[in-house]
Amino acid sequence: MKSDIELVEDVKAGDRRAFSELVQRHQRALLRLSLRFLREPSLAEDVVQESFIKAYEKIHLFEGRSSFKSWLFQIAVNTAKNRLRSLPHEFVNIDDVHLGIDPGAENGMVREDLRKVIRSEVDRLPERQRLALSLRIFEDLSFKEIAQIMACPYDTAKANYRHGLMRLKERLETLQGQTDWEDFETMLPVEGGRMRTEVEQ
Amino acid sequence: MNHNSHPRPDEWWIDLIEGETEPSLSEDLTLLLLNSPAGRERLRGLKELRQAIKDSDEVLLPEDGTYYRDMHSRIMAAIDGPNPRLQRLQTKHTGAETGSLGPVSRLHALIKKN
Repeated sequence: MKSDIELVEDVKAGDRRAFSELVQRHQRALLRLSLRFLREPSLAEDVVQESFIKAYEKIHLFEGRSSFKSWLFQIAVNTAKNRLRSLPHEFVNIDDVHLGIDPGAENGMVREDLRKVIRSEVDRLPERQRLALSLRIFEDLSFKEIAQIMACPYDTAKANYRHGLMRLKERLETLQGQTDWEDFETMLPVEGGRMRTEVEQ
Repeated sequence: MNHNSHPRPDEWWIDLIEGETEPSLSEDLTLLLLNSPAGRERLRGLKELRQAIKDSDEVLLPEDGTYYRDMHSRIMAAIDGPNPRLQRLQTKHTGAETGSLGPVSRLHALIKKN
């Protein structure tokens, strides 16, 4: 099986089928990435298609200094950013998250609320921190790949990730301090010995 | 180095979790973990936070192979067209005009189903 780089060379030489193979390999990952940033399936699908079209049109500019996947992700992230800028921001309001839980009775709902809180807080991170954190945790990319996608130095990508994670930790600790809800405390994984984990219980 | 001193900054623990610890710090952190319950607690907390973020992921992809074959066909058709961007829009509109379940609706349906 040919590598991505070999397929890119074939595309540059005029082999359209090689690009078809690249689309097959990466369309799923690109859709996942786009959905994560845009949430709206129709927009995400548009971004996937537009990204592949842009990649095809600009493939002569790809020099192989990064992986093809990183380059494609970079195109998709920029395309998604442009779409996001044209949309009104919609955040989950923490106040709307259902906290009125009968302790121990609705654990499934508690977990879902915790997920909502975390998703909401991830959405509130500065754009570059959110991007670095999402690419690392959700897409399992290396910091080298993240730096390529974000078009920044390696250390900057890592710093954005660290700052995003620490900001989330601080926000969750603050939220914990604002509620008397015991279940929230028992399930929120913040260190310091003040919170227990599910396993410990 | 006093290994019973205050826990290291979170950045160091994050680097350790991510496998990014500088070699010069690696030995010190290992010793610190052995000797500092507070350090172990911070490390555990950050690991759990990372896992909770990962678990919060709500992106569900359609498993239906037909969906991806259709997407692939549309992309390649757009690329083959005289004007890829115009072709892309025309392809999408055609799906809607036929009244069939278009690609976007199918993605919605598949995600809801999952």
